Amino acid sequence: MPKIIINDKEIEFENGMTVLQACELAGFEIPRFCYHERLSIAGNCRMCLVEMEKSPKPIASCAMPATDGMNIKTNTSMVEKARKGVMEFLLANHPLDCPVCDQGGECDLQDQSLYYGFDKSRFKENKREVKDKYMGPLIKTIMTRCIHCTRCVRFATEVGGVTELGAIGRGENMEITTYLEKSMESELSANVIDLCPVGALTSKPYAFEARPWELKKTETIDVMDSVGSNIRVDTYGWEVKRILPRLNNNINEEWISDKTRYACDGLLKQRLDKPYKRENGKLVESTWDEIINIVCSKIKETEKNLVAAHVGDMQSMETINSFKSLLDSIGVNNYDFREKPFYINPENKINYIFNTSIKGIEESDCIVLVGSNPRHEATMVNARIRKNFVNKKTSILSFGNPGDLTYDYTIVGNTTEDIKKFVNKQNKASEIFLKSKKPIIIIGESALELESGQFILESIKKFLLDNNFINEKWNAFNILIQNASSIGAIDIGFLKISKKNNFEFFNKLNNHQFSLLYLVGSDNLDFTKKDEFIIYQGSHGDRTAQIADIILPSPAFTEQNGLFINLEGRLQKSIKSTYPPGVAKEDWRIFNLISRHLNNQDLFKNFKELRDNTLKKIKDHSDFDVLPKTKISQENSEIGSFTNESVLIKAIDYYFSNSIARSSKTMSDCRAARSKNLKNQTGT
Amino acid sequence: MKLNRFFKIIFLSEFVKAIIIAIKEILKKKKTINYPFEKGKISPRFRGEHALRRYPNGEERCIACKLCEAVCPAQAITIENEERPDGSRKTTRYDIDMIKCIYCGLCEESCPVDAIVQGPNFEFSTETREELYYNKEKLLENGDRWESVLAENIKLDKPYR
Amino acid sequence: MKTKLMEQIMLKEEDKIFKNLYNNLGWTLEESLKRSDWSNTKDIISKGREWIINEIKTSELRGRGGAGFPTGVKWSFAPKKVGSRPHYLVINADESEPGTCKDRDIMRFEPQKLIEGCLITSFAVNAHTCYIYIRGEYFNEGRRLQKAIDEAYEKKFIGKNACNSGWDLDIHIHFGAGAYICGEETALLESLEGNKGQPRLKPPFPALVGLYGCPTIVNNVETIAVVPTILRKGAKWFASIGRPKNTGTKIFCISGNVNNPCNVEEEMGISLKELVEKHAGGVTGGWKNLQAIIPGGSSMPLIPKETCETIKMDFDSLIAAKSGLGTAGVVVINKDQDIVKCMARIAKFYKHESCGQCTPCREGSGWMWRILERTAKGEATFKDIDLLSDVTKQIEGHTICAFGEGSAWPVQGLLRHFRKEIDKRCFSEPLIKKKRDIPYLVDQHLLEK
Repeated sequence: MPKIIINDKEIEFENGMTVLQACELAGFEIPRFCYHERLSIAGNCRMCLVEMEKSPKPIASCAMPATDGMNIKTNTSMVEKARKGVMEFLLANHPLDCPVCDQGGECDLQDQSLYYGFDKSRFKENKREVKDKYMGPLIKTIMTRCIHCTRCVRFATEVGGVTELGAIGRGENMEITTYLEKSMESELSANVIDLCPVGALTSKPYAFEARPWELKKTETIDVMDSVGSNIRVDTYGWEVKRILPRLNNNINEEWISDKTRYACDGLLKQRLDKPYKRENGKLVESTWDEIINIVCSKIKETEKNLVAAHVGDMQSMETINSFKSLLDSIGVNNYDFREKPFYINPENKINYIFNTSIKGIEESDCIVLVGSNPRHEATMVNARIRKNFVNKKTSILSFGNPGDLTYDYTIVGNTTEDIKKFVNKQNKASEIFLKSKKPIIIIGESALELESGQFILESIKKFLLDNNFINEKWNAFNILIQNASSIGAIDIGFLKISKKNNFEFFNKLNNHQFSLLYLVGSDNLDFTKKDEFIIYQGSHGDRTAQIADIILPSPAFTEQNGLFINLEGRLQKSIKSTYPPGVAKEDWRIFNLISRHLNNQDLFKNFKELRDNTLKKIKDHSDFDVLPKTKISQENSEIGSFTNESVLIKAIDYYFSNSIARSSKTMSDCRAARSKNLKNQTGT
Repeated sequence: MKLNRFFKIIFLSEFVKAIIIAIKEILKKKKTINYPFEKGKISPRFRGEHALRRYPNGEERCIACKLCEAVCPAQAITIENEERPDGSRKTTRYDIDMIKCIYCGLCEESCPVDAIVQGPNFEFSTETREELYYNKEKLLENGDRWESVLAENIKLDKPYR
Repeated sequence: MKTKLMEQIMLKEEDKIFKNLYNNLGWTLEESLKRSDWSNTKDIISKGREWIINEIKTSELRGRGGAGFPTGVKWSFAPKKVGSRPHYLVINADESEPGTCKDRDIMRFEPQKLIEGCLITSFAVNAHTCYIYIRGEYFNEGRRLQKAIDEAYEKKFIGKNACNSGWDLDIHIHFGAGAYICGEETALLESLEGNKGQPRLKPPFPALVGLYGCPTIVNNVETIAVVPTILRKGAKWFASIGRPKNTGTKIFCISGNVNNPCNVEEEMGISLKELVEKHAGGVTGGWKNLQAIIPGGSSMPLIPKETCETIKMDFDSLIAAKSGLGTAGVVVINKDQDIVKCMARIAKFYKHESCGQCTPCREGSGWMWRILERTAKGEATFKDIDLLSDVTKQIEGHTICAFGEGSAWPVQGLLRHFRKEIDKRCFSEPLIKKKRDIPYLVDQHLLEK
């Protein structure tokens, strides 16, 4: 290992590190604005200057590659002077509006000026003023505050994959802009707010809402999609004020999607805070005692095989587990978690998770998408694919047309026939695939929804097994599940399928064979009501609440503890960060109430018992925050029947995909901005 | 020693001294004041009742930066704010619990726009506790009432800031 | 009598490289062939790469673009063997330095020397493609050069199997859009690639990672144009002219308050006084009327009259005088001029041309200009002058490219040599002291007094 001397301290560093990283390794903090670990190096803020032996000038440590035997000093008077000088220049044209700036309290410039700033300004000229730019409904711009670090520009081009942000003008007149004053068309756009070291780009929905020091911070996970991005929920009193990403290199690095970040205002609106019952076609308020009585008598009087249950997209494993315990105790066996009928093989864990793991995508050298639009289905997965594409120019193939994915890909074919050819090694795509060393196949729900869904899943798996792409070291087989609750529900066994029929529940549901439906947070369930009696338990007065006969209010994901398994099988804890509104009760307590009423006994004594019970049911479980230890077995599943049909990738209404997002004003603004952009595109 | 004491008693020297002091004090200016009708002089830095000031055009000064709320050692201040239609940052709620307040003056010191000030008024006793929970209207009204004095005090204190 | 004497002192006619600097002999290919251009190019190339680079190294030719880096050494930085990526030669003809116009005359009147130089250099650094980046304002010069290139193509001096040497070379001209910063080599490469002209971080140096990420040698027009003559006449001949380490001839561009502004090719190390007196017809109003001279284009610090008496015009002696030869654009300023105003104008130029990429130069150049402008009007205070000196030091050495120094040095030169002059003007009290009520966010010097 090469060695470097920093402030007379000799340390070893890895090749390819910059001086700044080496200094950090040695424990010396270097101030910086433009440098960011995950973006390319710009070296333009000049804040990270350090002294290097034999160099008459201080060097920019962020841009200088560390070499063996360098002698770096970070605490000399020359360095101090250089940094103070740069800080004075940065502050020269920076407005003194910290009291009204939303970045105040978490501003890099504020913090660093404490160490390197003068107490008085020597700049007596007029300060520069810059016109604010429009960057969409999420980003508020006060461009006068901009210090031109270009982090946002680099993020948009490198990570976001949109070249809509850039700098125009020269010298003092340089401005960061979206050129055409239109909103950024990226699902990751709001990350530039976190990146901005000053208050030039701030959050529009959060504008003037709160100060960072008065917020309660809870580190939890996101359930908007199945990625399970690590987030920090900031609450002020009851209200969730904002959601920020948390660093997790295995899942979301330090980005989150706009939906994760901004759907949080939906947690304040359309909330169910009291139990309701339907009387004469109208919902009327009720009490817990009364409502539990009604529910129980309804369950008692209905024949058990006419009762069906369904859990929605954002339910924790505890909710699912206690719900299943309740259903088992009363003898109901029609239940499912899927919102639309797509094929699932729950025999082995590798059949339904993203085996390569999100981080594993980076190593891949060939990516095949089968009926999947990762950009909308799992934004962070798409960001990883793009990262791989940018770094290695990996060839990306797709079956079906997913639209703009922010990177280049080739469409192999639009029919299932093409997939058949692929697995039979009859087309060029399979040639490319077989040549690569670490390929991956990502199968989307849209593909599994097809009539030949079973064929697609099983034949591709067989193809991979035959060519040794599923082994202990590399598993190329990936299913892209869309909902946060899905993997957990499969592990707990919240679905009734037989070898012959994967869609028993849906067949009965659509033939209206059930007379009582107990839905827990199922707002996306594709179904029309006839004369079923519907009990809805959930947090938002959304689609299902409108047709429900009984409404049991329960907390949203930020308001109760729970476990979630993300699409790669990683078990994570979601932490309660605020309390539910009104008299809403936690889901497992509601089930306990019903059970006590029906069977005279609690399902679970306390939450700990429930959690322990839930943990036991997880397949191949090892620990929190790690990948599951999956077993590879050569089980012989039926390949299924083949139908030649076109692979249609079902469009997702990205900003309206769940009940929280649908209640959010910000999300509907985003949706409107996006459709406006689309209109303009076709117009010109 | 004893002799000394003896003479003191004989000649009533202590008594005379006391009379002399009394006569001196009679000739001096009076130190007490007739309080409710007369009031003593107050330093411009006196930290009395709080007030929220306005700009001369009537616009309230407070920009809801929440520095006073953050600095308040007694946590007596509560602020809520939002963006006004014209895009400016203003409070929707500004409460001071005058019972919690310890009159340390940190809020005044932290204010970047001289909005919250502690005025010269110290006579704001009330009959009920509730009346001491000041809200924004009350504070602004205070500000309007005392503006001339407040402005003068701030001007006097300016060179020392 | 007088002219005879001058000729003796001046560079001998046969030692001049650019014989057609004044277009007496014609610029076309036929006419330049008479001046022995392209006469034995094939022989030179056949002597091989090593020989060419060594010959240039022994000639001690230093880059004529401003920094004065030894050209032979620069060429030797290019990888010896062509790897997976091609090599490029880029000619920097973005001559935007105020006070400099040497490349312009080379391109107008001696284009074949440049083209021949391109061929030899491309061969030496393994490049098959050569780009000439001309500033947009040199439109006519660019057209002239294009014509010359076309002529050379016709004669098969360049193109496939150029001069029968077995080496292929294509020369492309690219017009810039007129940004000064694009004269910086890495910004030039960015601009050539089609990006915003902003300097790149060094390291990596262009010799390894340059145009399109390929090894690239960037040289000034004059540097390349003298190469064929050096190789033809021998490195010893070139090294014998001038002083050690500062060899050869150089085109000096004399402008400003002189009777006869001109471009002249002279020996390196000629004394400045001689240069101005003999070639430019002397300072307007006589040598006594001289105030200061900027010896190397606007980005170099000026030198006062006392130094001008004795200074020799070469890289090292000017550096010793805390200035630099730069591009040898000699700007003479006589006592009729307001030196502070002159510097304020230069500062304005740098404020306008700063690319805005890195902080010190973006914010500092405008700041310097504003203070100087105030000083020129006599509205500055003593404090302001100290501040100005601080600002120049805070820019210098803290920027990505040399532009930062280029904007700070002239101001530093002014402060170094004319401090008394400036102090005399600083009688004004700061307005902020006079009127207490003025909010400090207002430009003080703009307020009515």
